Amino acid sequence: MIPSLPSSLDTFDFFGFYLPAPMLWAAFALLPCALVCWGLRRVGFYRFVWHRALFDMALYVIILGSMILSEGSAWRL
Amino acid sequence: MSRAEAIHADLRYSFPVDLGWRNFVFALRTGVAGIAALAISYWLDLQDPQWSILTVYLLAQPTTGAVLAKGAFRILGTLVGALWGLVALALYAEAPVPFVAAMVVWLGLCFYAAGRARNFVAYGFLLAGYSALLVGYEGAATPTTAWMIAVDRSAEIVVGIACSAAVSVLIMPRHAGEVLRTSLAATFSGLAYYGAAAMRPETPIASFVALRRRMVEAVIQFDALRSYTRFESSEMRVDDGALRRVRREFLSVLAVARGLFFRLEDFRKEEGSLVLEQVGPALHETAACLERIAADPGAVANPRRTRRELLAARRTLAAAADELGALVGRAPLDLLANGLLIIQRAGDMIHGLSMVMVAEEATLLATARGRRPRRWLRLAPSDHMGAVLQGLRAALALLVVSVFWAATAWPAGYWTIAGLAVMLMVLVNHEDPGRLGWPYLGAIVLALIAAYAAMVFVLPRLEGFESLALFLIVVLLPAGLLIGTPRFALVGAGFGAFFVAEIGTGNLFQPNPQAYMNNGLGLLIGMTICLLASIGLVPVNAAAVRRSAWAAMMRALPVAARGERSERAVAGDILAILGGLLLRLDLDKPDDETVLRGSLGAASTSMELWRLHDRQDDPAMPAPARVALSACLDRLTAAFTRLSEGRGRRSDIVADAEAAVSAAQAALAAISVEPGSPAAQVVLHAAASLRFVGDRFGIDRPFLLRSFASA
Repeated sequence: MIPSLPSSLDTFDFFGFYLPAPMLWAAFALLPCALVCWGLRRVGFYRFVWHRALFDMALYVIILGSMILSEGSAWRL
Repeated sequence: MSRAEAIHADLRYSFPVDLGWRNFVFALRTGVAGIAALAISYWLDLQDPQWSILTVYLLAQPTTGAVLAKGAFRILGTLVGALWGLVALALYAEAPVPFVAAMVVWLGLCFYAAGRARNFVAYGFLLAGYSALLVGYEGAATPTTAWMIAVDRSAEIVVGIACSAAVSVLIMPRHAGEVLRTSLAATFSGLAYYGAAAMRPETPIASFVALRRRMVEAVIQFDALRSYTRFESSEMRVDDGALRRVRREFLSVLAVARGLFFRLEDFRKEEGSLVLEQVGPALHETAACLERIAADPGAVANPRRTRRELLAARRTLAAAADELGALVGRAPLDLLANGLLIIQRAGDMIHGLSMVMVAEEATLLATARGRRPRRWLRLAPSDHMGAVLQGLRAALALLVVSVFWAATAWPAGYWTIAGLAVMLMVLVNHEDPGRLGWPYLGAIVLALIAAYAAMVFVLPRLEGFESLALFLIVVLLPAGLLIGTPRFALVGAGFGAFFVAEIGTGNLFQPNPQAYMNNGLGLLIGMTICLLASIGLVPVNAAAVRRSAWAAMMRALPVAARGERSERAVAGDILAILGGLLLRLDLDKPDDETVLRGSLGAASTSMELWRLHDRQDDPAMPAPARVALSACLDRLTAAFTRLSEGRGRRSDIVADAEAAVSAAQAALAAISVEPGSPAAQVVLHAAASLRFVGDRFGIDRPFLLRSFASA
């Protein structure tokens, strides 16, 4: 464990199989991001967006960061 | 053209690598993606970060759709392949013979499936075979760390894919859909101009032949782009079925225009002026219409207007055909039939262009409604034997290298396997391994030398990741420019990928010249063995693929002669078979030119056979003519069936079919009909179709005799 990083980034032990936690979080974050993007498209939000791919990427980074940081806090509690 | 533009054009002509600003952007963003992937891999503390940047360079594609497509299937293929490698290790880690057998069978199956599937689905199967080899053979040396090897390798590849996709959609994205629409508009305009050139008497043969070649290449490029669009975002996704129809119509226009040009040339030289006077003005008007459409940059953007203009041209041609009908009895029937045939072929060409506009309207509507393509996984219909040979080749090559590794216990044996796997991927679905493989091998040798020099002279002087990133960007820029130039894409990808893989971008910089030489030699030996095996051991038989397509086309012709399916449906089937072959054809080879020309001729023949069948049932057809046509169609049906089944000597069968057509032509010429009557019209139309079918026995004789396959 690296003390400066959230504990949610520790290697994940899945019944003895070690999995890289950042990769798992990156995969988990795809679903809420896709849902939010779908919702924004349905309400026509993208009419106000200049660079859709950039917006989506930023949204994904925010969701991924939120998940990692919030889950880390939860674990520490 | 301005002076600056002229200088730029001269430079582009004299220097084969694309130096346009778009290609520079592509090369730079690929470099940025590679550096980002390397940085993330370092941060994640992955075992071999160089695999992530290598993935970026193996994935590099100039359009966004291509990156997403390749990436999606590569992830899936990587995960499935890594899983199989782990399963094989779990079962046979201590038993080399069954382990090698499991890997050989898996690789053979993956390459068979890659041979049957198309485009990026094929890429997924390739990666499944490739990843299984990397995980399985690397894990076999240290079975206890196999899980970590699988996880690390998969993670590195996924990071590379993600960075490649992200950068390509963020930095000046060039969507395949936009490129496709531009290509569609350019190809349509080009074909309209080509059609007009076919009808103009002043077009020189050399110019026409050069124009035709350019148009064939344009259609092939359009087809390659079409395959990328299905992976675009929902706004850019277009109906793949409609685009397939566009390709078919492009091919049909190509088929008709060439025949029309040569028929018209012969007609002007040899035949009477009476018919030419009737035909000439209509052709002139039609050519002018096509030239107007070709010059109109908004022709494709406004399909309804373009269709209206094309429809007007067809009406002009129909009126000219009616006028020819009135001449029956006053001019030789064969002469009139040839004139009518010219009018009909011009009409078919206009119809093909109209159908492109119909399909374009459909894709616009589909895009507006957000409809998605129905089918994305299609198996090539006529490529079973080629795929079997390809799978066999991959399996045998792996078996040979595995036995060699086991017998010599060479420490660099794993790298021989890696080299073999990479070369198999490069050569897949290509029928001329030497032409592709030797330059690729040369690029890898150069990359290894350059990487060693950089490792010895440059890397020790670099401090920190920033300077390493800057150095890599500078070195990889030329590789990116090469990848963005289609002619050098493979060489550029090979150099870029192996330069970064071998330079020593691992987590710990531990240069070891002896290990470097050993591994590099292993890599090159694996690649060379694979290349030699591909050329000599089990070559994928190009002739077999063409023979199979030829037989399928021959089987379609009796269906048209019996009138079982509509004229355009059968022609569409033949053009779909040609569409599957299109990317394999090398038009520098006379045999491939024969296949292309013959296939296009077969599509047109099927239409004329159906029309003959239709006309024999026409109530206005005189009874003796009906009997002659019926006998002719029966003999043609039997002949094409025998050709497709390989029964009898092909030259005898073709001679019999030719005699059948000649007999029917003689019978029709002997019938007297009242000029301008319905009977005269229908006899004239039947004579025109017979003339077309009869001419194929001369023009497409090498194709019908299948003599291209013996070369």
